[in-house]
Amino acid sequence: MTNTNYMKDTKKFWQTREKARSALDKKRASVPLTEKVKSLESLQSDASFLKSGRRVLSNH
Amino acid sequence: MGLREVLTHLNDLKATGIIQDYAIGGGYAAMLYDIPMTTYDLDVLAVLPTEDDYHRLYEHFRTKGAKIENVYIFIEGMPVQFLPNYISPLFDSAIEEANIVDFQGVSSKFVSIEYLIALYLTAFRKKDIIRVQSLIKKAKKKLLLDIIRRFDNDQYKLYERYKKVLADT
Repeated sequence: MTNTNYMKDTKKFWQTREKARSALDKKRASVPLTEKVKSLESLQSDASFLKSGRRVLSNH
Repeated sequence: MGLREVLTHLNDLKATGIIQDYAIGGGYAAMLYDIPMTTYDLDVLAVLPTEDDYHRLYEHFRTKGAKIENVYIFIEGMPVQFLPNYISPLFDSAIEEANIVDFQGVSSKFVSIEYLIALYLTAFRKKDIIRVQSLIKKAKKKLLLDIIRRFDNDQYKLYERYKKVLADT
């Protein structure tokens, strides 16, 4: 465990992130279909990559 | 360029001390546990004990000329969101107790299913509830309850939310 002073009020932090995520989603929705297909292919490739993983240390 | 290259970059950040440690959370962690997910950004829980450390991380990428949009840093074209551990002790434990996974020579830490559920319960948007409902079937119940009880508080009401998800499942 690190020596950390935890943030007391995290509301603003999460609001900023939610706004950023919405902006990213909006931007993604407006890209041409070819770009959307490319993103989907990239996601499928990432999913296959994740499947190739071997758990070497499980803390549970 | 793909996820492998992104993980290599994250490992470099750790090796050079820009972040002390990290674990992948969010949709990509859920995908590791075989939960089908449509996600395009990578959530990285990072040990950055102070806000100064967090700003230094952005400065590092700015200096390198990386694309930064809002909170997202684009690494190999992938929008990456760093979630600093000073937000909550839950983040600290999620990183500390994360699973180490090897991808043919590239190792990375991924938040465990049980911590992933607890993190989704803190956000508790509609899509988070759906994700919790899928993940819960694969979780170790005793461990999950232990985490929920340990980090339950008035702000996040983890136990109350957990019971609500169970009732609706």
